[in-house]
Amino acid sequence: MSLEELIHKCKKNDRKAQAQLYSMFSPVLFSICLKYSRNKTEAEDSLHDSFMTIYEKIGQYKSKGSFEGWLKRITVNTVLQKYRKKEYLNAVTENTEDIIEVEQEENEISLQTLLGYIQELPSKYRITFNLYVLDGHSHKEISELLGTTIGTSKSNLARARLILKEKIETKTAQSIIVSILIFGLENA
Amino acid sequence: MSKIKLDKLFQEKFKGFQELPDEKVWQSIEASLNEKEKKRRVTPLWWKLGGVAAIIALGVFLINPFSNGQAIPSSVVTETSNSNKDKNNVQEEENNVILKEKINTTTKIAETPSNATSKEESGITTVSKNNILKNNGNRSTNKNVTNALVNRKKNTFKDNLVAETNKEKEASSIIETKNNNLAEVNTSKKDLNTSKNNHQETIITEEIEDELASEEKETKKSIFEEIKEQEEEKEVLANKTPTKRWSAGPNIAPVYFDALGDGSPVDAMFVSNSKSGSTNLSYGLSVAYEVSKKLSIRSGVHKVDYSYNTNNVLFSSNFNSAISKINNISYNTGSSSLEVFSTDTNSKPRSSSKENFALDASAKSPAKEGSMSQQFGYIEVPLELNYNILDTKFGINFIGGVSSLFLIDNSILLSSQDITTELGEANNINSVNFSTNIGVGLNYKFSPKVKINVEPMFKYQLNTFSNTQGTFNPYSIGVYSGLIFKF
Repeated sequence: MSLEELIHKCKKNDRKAQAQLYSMFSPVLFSICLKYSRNKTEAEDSLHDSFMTIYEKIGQYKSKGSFEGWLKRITVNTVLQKYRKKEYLNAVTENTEDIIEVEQEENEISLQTLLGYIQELPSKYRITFNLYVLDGHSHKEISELLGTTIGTSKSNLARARLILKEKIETKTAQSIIVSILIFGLENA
Repeated sequence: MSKIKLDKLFQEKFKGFQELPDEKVWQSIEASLNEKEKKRRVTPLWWKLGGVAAIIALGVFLINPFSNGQAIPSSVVTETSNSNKDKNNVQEEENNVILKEKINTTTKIAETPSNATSKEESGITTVSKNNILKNNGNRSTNKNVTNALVNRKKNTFKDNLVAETNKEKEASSIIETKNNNLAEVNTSKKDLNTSKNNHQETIITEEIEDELASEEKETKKSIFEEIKEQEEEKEVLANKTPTKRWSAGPNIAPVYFDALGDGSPVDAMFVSNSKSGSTNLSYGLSVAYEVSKKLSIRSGVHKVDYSYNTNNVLFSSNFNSAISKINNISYNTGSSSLEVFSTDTNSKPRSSSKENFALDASAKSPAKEGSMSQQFGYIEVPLELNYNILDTKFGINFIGGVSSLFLIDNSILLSSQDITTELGEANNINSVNFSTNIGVGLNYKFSPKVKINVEPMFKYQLNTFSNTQGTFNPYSIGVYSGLIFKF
């Protein structure tokens, strides 16, 4: 079945087609949910809501532009709506810092660890970081999306980076200490 | 250790990041989809039942003139009065059961060819279920009526659906044009897509990944635009949401009163006389409360006068002590000498005084021939449901309900060419009676707060008289027009 056929059947609420759509695109859309959510459970909820919206709105999809891009837009929007309702997105001060250098160990930190750090961020920082760093939006776009100012977006990003940097460097330091200990014990 | 920018670290780590969700997520999605499908099937069912109820009420009126017994009108009246969303009607319950059964069996048939999403398609499926119902054998007596009416209801229902579908299509075409504007950014990719879609089947995911790499930058702009549009849509919706639920206004209506059947509520001798209805003016105030966007409850207070004439009536003063009086009339003191007879050849004389009367050349005043007019005035308090079929600048709505009528005026007049005299008042009129009302309205909205409406209404009177001779079932038809103010 071609993608076009699949979309066509989904428009008719064909359950098999809907299931296939899910199996094809849920991994990439779930990864988006994980990045933007606080934990796996919330990410699963968001994935559920995103797909319900997708099945509902697929009737409006015209074959213009990337289908996956369309799916991703819906997913990001679904997650944003959830967190927009819950918390304020305004930072207190407006410190800006540009690029932060990070000490990184040769044994690279795993993706799952980094994902965990992102999820631990306060929602406003997490969303801003994802939108800017991982999804490539500008501060202007982010400020309009979230209903804040450009300055707020910049400071949210800076704070997110600071927190992440701290966590990474702590982790790095911990692993160095552990390696030294192991080395010491072996040679003792 | 190498120094890497934080951003780049995350970007590189998350490049191509995908994770499989647990099976339970799909299970919950499937469950939600099933629930949605159930709702989609049930809603048209309720429309259908509501439509059946309304059509029965109309059909009862149409079929009534052909009935010849008195038992049927009273049962018809009961059905009509219960038709307003009262599901205790046994016939409707049976329909419920049968409809549910049929839908269960026909769903399986319907599922295989296509699962209809568009309302038009589901409407057709529902209509084909109606056909199946029609062809089914064993039914109780009243169901023959339902069968006869199903066609009419089908057409109304289909028309409503078509109207709804057209509205939906309009809305979706507007949304589509918006999406088209959005996607103009990606026009160059369209060629890429179409050429790639040509060799499909097994390599879809790979193709998509290729497209992704080249499209990432352009899609972010579309996200921002689309989200902004969704916000705007929400704002528009919020503005449209009615916060003003109450409305009120004056209305006025010419009302024509008449009756089905040949009887007479005055006296048996007038049963065979011809009777004619007449038109009076009704005026009052109506109040409505909007329960939902489509449905509102309305009431009010109206002054309404009804009258009808009994023709071929002969009357004269007679000071003879053996005057024959009509039992259902309370004579005025000044009219106690009046005697009334029917000149209709089929009338049964009450007493022999008619023959004497005609032959009595020495009567003080000659007999006059004319008509007898029975007039009664009420304060009417309606309680009706208003359903908006079309809610645009020009609107159409459907009204059904009941009214309570409180008698305030009551008189019987005799009139001939040169004089009119009041005979008295009827004593067999109930001081409180009820009517069942049904009608269709057209309205025009001058502004969100003010609209004008014109509503032809049919009101079937239930128990106007407590004692009638023959069959006399009064009704009224009025064209109610008025202004409505929202607040």
